[in-house]
Amino acid sequence: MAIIVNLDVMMAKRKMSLNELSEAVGVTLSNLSILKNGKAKAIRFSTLAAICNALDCQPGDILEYNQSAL
Amino acid sequence: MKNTSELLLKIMRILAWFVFVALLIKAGAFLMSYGVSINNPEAANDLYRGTDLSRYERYSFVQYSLIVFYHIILYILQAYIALFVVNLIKNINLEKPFTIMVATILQKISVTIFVVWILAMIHNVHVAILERYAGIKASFFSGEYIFLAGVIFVLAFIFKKGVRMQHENELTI
Repeated sequence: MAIIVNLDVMMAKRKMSLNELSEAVGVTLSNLSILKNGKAKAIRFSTLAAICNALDCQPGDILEYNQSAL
Repeated sequence: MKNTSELLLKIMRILAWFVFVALLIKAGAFLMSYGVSINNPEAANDLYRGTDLSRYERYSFVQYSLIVFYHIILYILQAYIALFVVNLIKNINLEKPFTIMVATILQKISVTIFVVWILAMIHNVHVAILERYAGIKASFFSGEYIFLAGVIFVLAFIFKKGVRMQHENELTI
């Protein structure tokens, strides 16, 4: 997919585990894993906002567009 | 409600098995009677529950054999459809009915019905030609299979779309 999810990078920068993020965002661990591993087909704005709030970052820090991966 | 649906599915599955076995017995009986009619042409008068193809047997053994085999293949294909229905009911999960397997089985059923229609049409053209050139009274197979195949194909298509949408929905975080 052309959209790359850099959730693991941001989590590492903020030193936050998947469990902590799951609790902070209110998304199940399995769904966060799907997102982290780039298997998600779509992300709701509300989820993105909650993740940005928990990680104190911008959507661009989590999502990246890569044309070569098309 | 769930128990009623499950009971209904169980009954339908038993019925589908019954239809499958009955159609295979019908095809087998037809084949057996045909085998008997090779040595004893009288058997062609009543191949299976009053099916009289003796008029073709009297005209030409090759034509008779072809028409008997149309019948046998048709019954086998119908049995095959019944088997698909058995598999469909076996694999359906009422909690999560939209699976790619169910959509695939539906599509296979529609394709098989389409093949049945093609065979029925070949048979009908064949007996019509025989009626025209040899004066043998024709009895045709129903041509409505194409309508049925079309309806099930459309349903399978919608089902597949539903499966894809459900999959996307599941992967939306």
